[in-house]
Amino acid sequence: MKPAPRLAAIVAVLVAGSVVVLVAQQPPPTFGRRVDAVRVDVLVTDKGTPVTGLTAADFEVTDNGVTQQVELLAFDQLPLNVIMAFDISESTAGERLLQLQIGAPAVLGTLAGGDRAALLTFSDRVTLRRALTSDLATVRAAVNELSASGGTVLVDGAYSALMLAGSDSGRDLVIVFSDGLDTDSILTADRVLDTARRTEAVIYGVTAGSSGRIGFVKGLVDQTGGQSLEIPSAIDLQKTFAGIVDEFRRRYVLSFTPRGVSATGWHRLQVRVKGRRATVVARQGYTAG
Amino acid sequence: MSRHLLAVLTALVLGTQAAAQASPDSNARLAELQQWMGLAAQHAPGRVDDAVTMVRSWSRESLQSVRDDLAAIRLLLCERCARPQQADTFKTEYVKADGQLSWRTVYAFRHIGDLTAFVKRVGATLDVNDLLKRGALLHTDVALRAPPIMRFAPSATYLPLQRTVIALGDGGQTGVEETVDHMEMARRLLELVTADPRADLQSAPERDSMVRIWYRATMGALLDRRQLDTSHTLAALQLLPGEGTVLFLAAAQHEALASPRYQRSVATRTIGDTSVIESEQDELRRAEELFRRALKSDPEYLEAHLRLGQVLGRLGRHEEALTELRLASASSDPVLSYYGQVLIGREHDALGHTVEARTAYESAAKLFPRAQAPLLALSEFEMRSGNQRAAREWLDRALASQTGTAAIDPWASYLQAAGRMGNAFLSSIGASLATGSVAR
Repeated sequence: MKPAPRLAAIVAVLVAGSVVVLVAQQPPPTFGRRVDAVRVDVLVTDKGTPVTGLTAADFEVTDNGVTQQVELLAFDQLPLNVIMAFDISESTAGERLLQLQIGAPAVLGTLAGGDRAALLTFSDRVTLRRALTSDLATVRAAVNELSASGGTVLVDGAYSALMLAGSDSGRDLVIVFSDGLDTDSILTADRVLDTARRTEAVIYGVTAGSSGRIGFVKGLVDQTGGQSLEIPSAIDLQKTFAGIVDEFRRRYVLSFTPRGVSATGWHRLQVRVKGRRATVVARQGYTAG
Repeated sequence: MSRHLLAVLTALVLGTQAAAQASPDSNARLAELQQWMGLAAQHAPGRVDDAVTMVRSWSRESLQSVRDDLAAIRLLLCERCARPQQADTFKTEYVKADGQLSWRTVYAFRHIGDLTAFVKRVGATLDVNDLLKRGALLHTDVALRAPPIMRFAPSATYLPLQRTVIALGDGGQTGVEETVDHMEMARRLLELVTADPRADLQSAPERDSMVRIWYRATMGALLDRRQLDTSHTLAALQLLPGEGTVLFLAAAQHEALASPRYQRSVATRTIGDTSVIESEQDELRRAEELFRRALKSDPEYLEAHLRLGQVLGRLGRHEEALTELRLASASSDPVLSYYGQVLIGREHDALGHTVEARTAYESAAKLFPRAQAPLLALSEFEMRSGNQRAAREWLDRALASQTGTAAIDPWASYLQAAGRMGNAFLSSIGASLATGSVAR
């Protein structure tokens, strides 16, 4: 939804006012705390196989068309925060829930010391089963306690997962599993896509037997630079989940401090690998201010 | 009396076959009728008792025969009906029952002799209206509480007492099947209710207060169970076109059909020439029209104002929506007030009235502190404003409210909440029948 004129006017006045004050008393206005440095998770593949061994010099990143100076973070030293957001509405009762309960430990099994996991579910409401914790056994236990019922607040669930992912340290991976359509959310898809533009989390969306009906999840995935995985049956969940974490670990984490661009609004990002043919997946941009 | 009548009827339909005898099948049919009458009499309304368990397995044809026989009995019991008119009416009943004079109708006329003898035996003590109403409640309970066992392959041709059910899971449409329509059976029994069955065959169910309450009750109960029975709603609107509650519940059904839950899930949009669900915009416009008619009937109908506001908001008419929602906010019902505040928040948000939207969501959160919807909305508000810390605090409240005992958020049941009084209405009808105080 477009910002209404009145709201836009207020924002404009505040920004203009702060510029005047800050020029006199503080360092030049740049970005808020969250976007002082912009981090971009990047997946590089060649014919479907992740490309490894690249350096910062291999990447070109433009922010609203302006080329930025990037550095490559030692991503293998950054702990992972994996937020599992699972649909446990009534349509997952039976085989799907069982496969979910078998598949989730595959995610937990790939995590190492320092990594954390959280479990959030959504049916006709969002429930945080386990907040981010390195005590993975408690997450595993929570997975085993799940039961299915109710409708699907997919949009509300995705929003909550994104917000949980805004943690202080580490790389945030959100795995959203759903097999249905949103039925009862209070939040709108547009608003939550906007939230996704304000976070650095990467969303992997897994849909089982949904016949491509989950456009919202696809939108989130595209926005955050994740992957959308449609599996014909939930029986593939274990393998799929394990593959997600494995792939996530092989992504590059680029960082840059924006130069020559506005301190507010939508910033379109373009990432490419210089001098070779490769497929690059990264978030489409970010909202600053 | 009856022999004369039989002669007239058979001459009309069968010509030279006037001397037809009651067949052995007729005895079986009569036994089935008597069994049905026993089940209707013994059924405790509102319960899945033995009567419900038995009747739910009956075939469409058996139920149609029962209904036809009850129509015939009503005719045979009418003491003051003039003969020629009686014959015409009898014929009309059968034409209505079958759509045309089919083999079943012919069989029914042969069967009339047995029915005549039966009426002679029990007629003096038979209260036809009471039997029809008890029977209607029996079939209502089957329709609402015990899905019928008989199922058929989907058919494009409409057959009486045959209902097409489109089953939805939360992930989409899960199937289409044909079952026996016990709600239609109940309607067709109530069609036979007259002011005085022994004096007048002119059906006037709309003038019977139990029938009027029954329509409100069943429409509400169906909505409450998320069973959107479009045939039933159409029948109610035809019979009671000026009844405020019927208009309101019909509107609420279209409001529900316009929601993503149904718009995105229903794959079978039409069956034959019948539309199952219209486009979102058409459903919203139909809901608006019906809510307005309900409000014309009762301008103080606060929930109609509330839902009309929701519909107008969905149609993008946010200022009009706010006008209706403000009228509804006068309600003393906390659930309606809660819905009102959530919807007012949504409309202000759509108009860019940030302060008013936030205030409305906070009011909703005060009414139901454990409700998740307004807390999530407030969180998203803060996130949008760039205040991530405040957004996280609201989110933490939203998620914390879901731990411990089962959380209550009326928002999750908004669509079906319009029908929440249906079960109470049905219980009141059942209680009236039990005490023999059914209003006429």
